[in-house]
Amino acid sequence: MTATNSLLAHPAVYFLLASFAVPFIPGRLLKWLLPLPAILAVLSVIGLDHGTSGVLGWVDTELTLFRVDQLSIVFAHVFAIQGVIALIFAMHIKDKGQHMASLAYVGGGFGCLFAGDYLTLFVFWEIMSVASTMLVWLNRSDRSVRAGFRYFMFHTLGGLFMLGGLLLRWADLGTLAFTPVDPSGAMYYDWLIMIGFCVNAAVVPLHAWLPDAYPEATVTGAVFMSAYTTKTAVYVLARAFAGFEILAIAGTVMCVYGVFYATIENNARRILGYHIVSQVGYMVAGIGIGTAMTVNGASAHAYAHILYKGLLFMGAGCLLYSAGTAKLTELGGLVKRLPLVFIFYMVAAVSISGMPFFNGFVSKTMTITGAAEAHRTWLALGMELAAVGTFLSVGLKLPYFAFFSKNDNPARELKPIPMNMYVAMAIGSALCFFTGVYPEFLYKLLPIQEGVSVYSPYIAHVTEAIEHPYVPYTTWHVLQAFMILGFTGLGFWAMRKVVVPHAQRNVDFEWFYILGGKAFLAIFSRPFAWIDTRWSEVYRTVGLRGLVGSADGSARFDRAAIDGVVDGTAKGVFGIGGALAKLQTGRLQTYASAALLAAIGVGVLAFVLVK
Amino acid sequence: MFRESLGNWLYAQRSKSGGWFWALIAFLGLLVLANVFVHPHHPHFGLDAYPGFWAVFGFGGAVIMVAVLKKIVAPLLARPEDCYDRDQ
Repeated sequence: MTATNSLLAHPAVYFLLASFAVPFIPGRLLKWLLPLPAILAVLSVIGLDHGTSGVLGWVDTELTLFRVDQLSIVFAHVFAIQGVIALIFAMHIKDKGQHMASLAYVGGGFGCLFAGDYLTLFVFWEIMSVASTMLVWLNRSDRSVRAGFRYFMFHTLGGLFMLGGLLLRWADLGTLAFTPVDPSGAMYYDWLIMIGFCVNAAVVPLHAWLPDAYPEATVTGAVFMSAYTTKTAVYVLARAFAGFEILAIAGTVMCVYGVFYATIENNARRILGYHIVSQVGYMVAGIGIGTAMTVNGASAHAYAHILYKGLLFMGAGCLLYSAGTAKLTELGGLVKRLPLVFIFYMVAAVSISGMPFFNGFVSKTMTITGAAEAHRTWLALGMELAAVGTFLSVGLKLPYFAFFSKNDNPARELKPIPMNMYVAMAIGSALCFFTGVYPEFLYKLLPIQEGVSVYSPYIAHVTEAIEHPYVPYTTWHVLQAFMILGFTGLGFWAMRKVVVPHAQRNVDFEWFYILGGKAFLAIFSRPFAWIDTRWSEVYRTVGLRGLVGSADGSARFDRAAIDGVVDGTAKGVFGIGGALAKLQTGRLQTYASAALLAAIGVGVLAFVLVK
Repeated sequence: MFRESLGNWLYAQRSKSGGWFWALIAFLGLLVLANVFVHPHHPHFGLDAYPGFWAVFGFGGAVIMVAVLKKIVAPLLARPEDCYDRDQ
């Protein structure tokens, strides 16, 4: 394909430059300039051509900075739009550090989307990791510092898996190219890379960093983080590992696992965190099933998810910003004073639940139908169960206990919510609705469609998907969706006294990570320390005495043996010197005759030997 | 103004939950009735060919999920809310 995209059209350039420029721009101006890089990114992404540019030679290989195809475009499209929304949501923030971190973070995300080789991917991947850690730390509380450290350590571990994998792959194949892997011929390094990707995709059991850290990030930081880290990981999984059976299973496990934990969670932002795990599960499962319909469904769901999940985190962030807490046990009755937050939140909540006319419906049902049509009945059923649980927690439990249960407490101080936060939520809501009623807008962007060459040869049923595109709005799909959601509502009503949240932290897999960390620490602090102490004692008693003894011995040896030899040599040299001195008479005729005698001697010797 | 009246109206619905409940029941009844006439083109799971399958699935799924998780699983997993926020 032709390479017509200039590197100046690379959206990462706008975000990274903006990140460096932030400290030099006065605060009042910065507020209005903030969404600019994202607006430029939207314009750029709309105009991008398919093709590769920005190829640099490096050592004995090539780095590709700007590979554009339909798979990267569908993700870049929503990354750019969500960038505009999230930056508008953050306009009131005066802390420039937060702006620098979030801009660098989004820039890193774009860098990953367009990376054509693993090394470029790795560099931008780590930029995202560092910048998102800053978004946790800049909440500037004791809790966020601790959570940020845990987050960063885990992502560093994931990054090292990826680095190890890509270096081994480079050594074996001699290329860094970031291309699809054959599911039946994956090598050990491909699995290492996949583990690294799965850390960021929050694949169970590598997911516990997400519900741990996201609730501790800044109000706006969590809005950014909910969109980019996991979806970048979904993109790279779709790029390299479509059709891997293990992802189909793991994704469905994520779907139900996240939903289960969200049902018993108290912190609103942690509920949403667990629902990221669950929703990303649909995408991972779609990629793993690996038919054209499920891969398209995964991409569509990523697009829809970024919009509604950002909106959900904005809504929950408004609760935290205004009321000072996101714990459901401490909230209640807020609909009276925050009605617009409630409305915008509910748009996102019905979107994530897959209600017809909202964007989750046109993407989630595509993935589930794709799974069923690929005869993955149990996987499809697991995803349907997760849909029940999603509406239960995000659509009913969270809003009920935050906005309706309990009377409004007039003594509760509510910080007024800045206008820009409302504007951002309104844009997000409008887009969730727009893509829901006009799905062609989204379907036109999908990676597998007519006239676009398929990015991976390992995707099945491509022709069928192109000849029979998925139609979301059939009578049956709409009826089924309303039945599932409506009767989930009835179930919630029946269980409303049981589902009441409790102030507790539910241990998750982080318990095992901490156990592993403690075991590691224990190995060094107990057995290794014991060995070290013993060795020191051995050294003190045996070693030191031995050293003194050997020093003593070597001194004696020095005096007796070395000196003797050296003195003897000296005596010998002295003697030879005396003899030479006697020989040296200083008379030329003596030397000449001696030389002649020597020459005759050598000549005779030579004559005898040769003969 | 608009925000206040919207807030007051939504807040007032708390005391009218009975009416909303019966509205929901009526809506659900209509859905099941419609399901008698509208079927999936290709039932994928076998049982979903019968009307009301997804109604039972939604209600049963929600009730069982809440009961098992809140009554059995949550007490097993419970720790103090600040358990990771302090030095041991």
